[in-house]
Amino acid sequence: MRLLVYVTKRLLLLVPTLLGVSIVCFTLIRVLPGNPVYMIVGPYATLEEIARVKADLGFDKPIYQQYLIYLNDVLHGDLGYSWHTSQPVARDLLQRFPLSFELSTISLVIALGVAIPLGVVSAVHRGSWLDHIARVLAVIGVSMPLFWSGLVLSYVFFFRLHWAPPPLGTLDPMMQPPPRLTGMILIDSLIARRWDAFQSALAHLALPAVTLAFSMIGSVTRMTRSSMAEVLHSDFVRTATAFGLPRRTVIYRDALQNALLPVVTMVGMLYGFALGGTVLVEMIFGLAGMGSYAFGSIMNMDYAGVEGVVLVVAVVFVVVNLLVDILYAIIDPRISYR
Amino acid sequence: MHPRVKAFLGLLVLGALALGCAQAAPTASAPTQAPVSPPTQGPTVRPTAAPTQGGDRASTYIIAASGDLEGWDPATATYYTALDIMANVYDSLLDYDVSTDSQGRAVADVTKFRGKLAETFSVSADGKAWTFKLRKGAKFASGNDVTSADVKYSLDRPLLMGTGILNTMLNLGGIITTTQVVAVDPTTVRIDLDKPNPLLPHMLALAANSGILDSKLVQANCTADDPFGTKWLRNHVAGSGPYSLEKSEPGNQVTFVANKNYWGPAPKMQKVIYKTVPSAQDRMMLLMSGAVDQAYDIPGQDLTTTLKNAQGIKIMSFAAPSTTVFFVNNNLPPFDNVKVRKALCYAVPYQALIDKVLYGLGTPAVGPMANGVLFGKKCNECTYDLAKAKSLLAEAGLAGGFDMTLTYREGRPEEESSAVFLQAELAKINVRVTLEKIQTAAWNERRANKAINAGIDSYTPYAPDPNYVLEFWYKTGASLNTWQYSNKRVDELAKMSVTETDAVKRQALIEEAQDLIGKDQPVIWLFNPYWNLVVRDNVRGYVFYPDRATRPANLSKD
Repeated sequence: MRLLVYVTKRLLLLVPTLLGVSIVCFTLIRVLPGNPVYMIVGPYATLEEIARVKADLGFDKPIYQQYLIYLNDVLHGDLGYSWHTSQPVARDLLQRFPLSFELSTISLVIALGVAIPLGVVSAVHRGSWLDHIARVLAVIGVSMPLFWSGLVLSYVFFFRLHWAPPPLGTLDPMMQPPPRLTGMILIDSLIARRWDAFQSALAHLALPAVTLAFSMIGSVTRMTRSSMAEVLHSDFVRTATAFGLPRRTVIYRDALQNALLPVVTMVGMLYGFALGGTVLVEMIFGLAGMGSYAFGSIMNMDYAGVEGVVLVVAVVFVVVNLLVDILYAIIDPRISYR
Repeated sequence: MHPRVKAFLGLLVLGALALGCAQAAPTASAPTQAPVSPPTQGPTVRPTAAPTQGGDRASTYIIAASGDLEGWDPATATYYTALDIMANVYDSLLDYDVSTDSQGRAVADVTKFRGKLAETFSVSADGKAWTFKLRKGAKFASGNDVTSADVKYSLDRPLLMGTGILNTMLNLGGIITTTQVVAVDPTTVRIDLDKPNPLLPHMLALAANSGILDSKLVQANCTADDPFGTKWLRNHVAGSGPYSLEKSEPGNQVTFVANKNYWGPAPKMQKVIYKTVPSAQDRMMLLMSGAVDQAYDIPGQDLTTTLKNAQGIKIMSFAAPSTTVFFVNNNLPPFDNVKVRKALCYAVPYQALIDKVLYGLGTPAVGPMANGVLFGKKCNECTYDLAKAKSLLAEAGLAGGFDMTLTYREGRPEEESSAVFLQAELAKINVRVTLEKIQTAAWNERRANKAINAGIDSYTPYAPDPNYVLEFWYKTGASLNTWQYSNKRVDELAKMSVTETDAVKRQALIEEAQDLIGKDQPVIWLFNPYWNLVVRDNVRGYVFYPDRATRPANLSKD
């Protein structure tokens, strides 16, 4: 019951959060030089036509009025119309979000799967060669820009070794896609039992997911390592060891469970990071997800598109962090919700 | 949460933000834009063809484009991948004949016209009435017959819209009002002109923009607030060309299949895919691996190094009618003084610029009319002469030089390198240049408001006719006359020559205009860049057109 109240409270907090995010985004994009009207009318338009389109789109009104109109539309479920894709933003997002969601989820799973064991091992065997390798990997992962690592991976695994398929989207261009249900290509091909499509999609998503994961592995490894090291020095571990419990049990049962708490919190943050990272990864691997849509919208000054993406990312970020907080309470009985 | 954990998370978020910003910069230079979308009913609908049956790579032509697969409404579209797409799906009334250039390559012969959707055409003795007989049995991809009503609708539509490139083009060709286009009978169309106009056939032969629309289909998709169906036509097609649209995925990929109702010979390439690949390195890798058959926007540096001797790659450089200019606002001091403009023009080492920026893939510009534009002559008197540049500045009272801002657009690497190059060169005559890079939206806004003081721009007349160049870039108040050039005599000459049917007299008028422009030096003509076709070496049948669009219907693969 208490949990329910807490969740409701948190969900209510979403309202001011989204309001704030939308105001900031709405204002910022309008402060940027360049107005979409000039992209819409093209270079051949007369000044009268520019003025007419401006009035049509409401860009002649003061910004607070524009915002109120926008807010009213959003509350009625209308995210606006994207002039550069010529369709409602809601439909654009519906088409593009599942791929980015799929990609960032896979990459997060890969990142955690590699980084947590690596962090634990380097905390337990501090100063060993494994620890040094983990540290070097972490530094490389954090400092190597996504677009660069993506290009290098693509060059090595696609161009040189021919292990990966050409970065031309989620499927082989000659292959018929499975019927679209969830929009997530792996799940859709499973539902349709299209193993060929599943394999092709898996092959196509592998490099982008690894690229994105690579950028997160570093920070998760470091986090796990420091948190684990701290726990290993704590009283209860010393006590447990003093009682003669096997070292393996102490480390992997008692210490790890405690050390992972901050890591779980971090997952929420990382999710936001991964969604942001899809912008670059999707550009490099030719994937039509929300990241490349965001980029296209910014380059075209497509206000509605940018605002739509920001709202979706904000909602996902808040919801994921809420889930993490709930999960946190489940793993850590010391925390209660008030 | 532990304070240390909190601090760490805070740092992580900051780091992620910083990383995000740092990473956004380099990719931002890729000219990118997501295009357009699928039909009205659902997320992925295939308007014409049956669902993809996989397909055969040998009869599929894949093009890696740098990003922009913009809207394809023929009345408004100008970007060259949009021209590509429109040339695939629409037929114009006329077409250019094909001949061979000095290297034996197939090129459009812009002095000879032949019928396309019009099987035959004739001109009255006074040159004012043009009659077109439509091809019998020609159908649109939808199955509708091509009739004179469709031709009339297609030519009336831009006039009624009163805006867009096609409206300007038709006006230039002498079609000002809708009454001039007459549907005589279902297969005959007549265009009545006030005065003879040598540009009209060019305007009707621009495969991309003057394609004939399926009027029934377009009208069925018009709405009250979209009376011309412009929103619908941005990402749907209603044509009779060799291909029809199979699927459009905004920002990602557009797929075309051979149009089963096509009146002409069936194309060898059954399927054509345009794929957005924002990174130039990716496009190169895809081409070298054979995953795509053609790649757009490969930097000159790579063309002359990595790709030059790469196996399986063919590069063909064509002298396109493109010109890159360093322009200044002719109304603003100090640029309103012709001596200052001349000084700038003598300060540019042209050959070094071509070698460094284009890697040799271009020629020096002779004046406003680039290679292949009818009656073009050399009127650019500038050579590299620093002493002369300095003395001209001194004569203008600016011996100490001056400060200026040079603006260029995001996503145009050659213009950016030119700007950087000019900054260093102009410093030698004490002109201190501040560079300013802006997005296309900001550029368009400032151009419309005449608020760019100096910049780098490029232009390509789709019809290589001198009046096209004068009308769009050098007439007083012309829409793309970003440099605010105005010379009454040039305006007069442009007006007189556009309706002059005597070729000798017309040439004299055009040459006089060029001489005046050369004296006025409204811009500094930097170079004529080549159009570089980059394809797999098994691609055959390419024909170069001045609009630079690829026409996969002509192509085959060994």
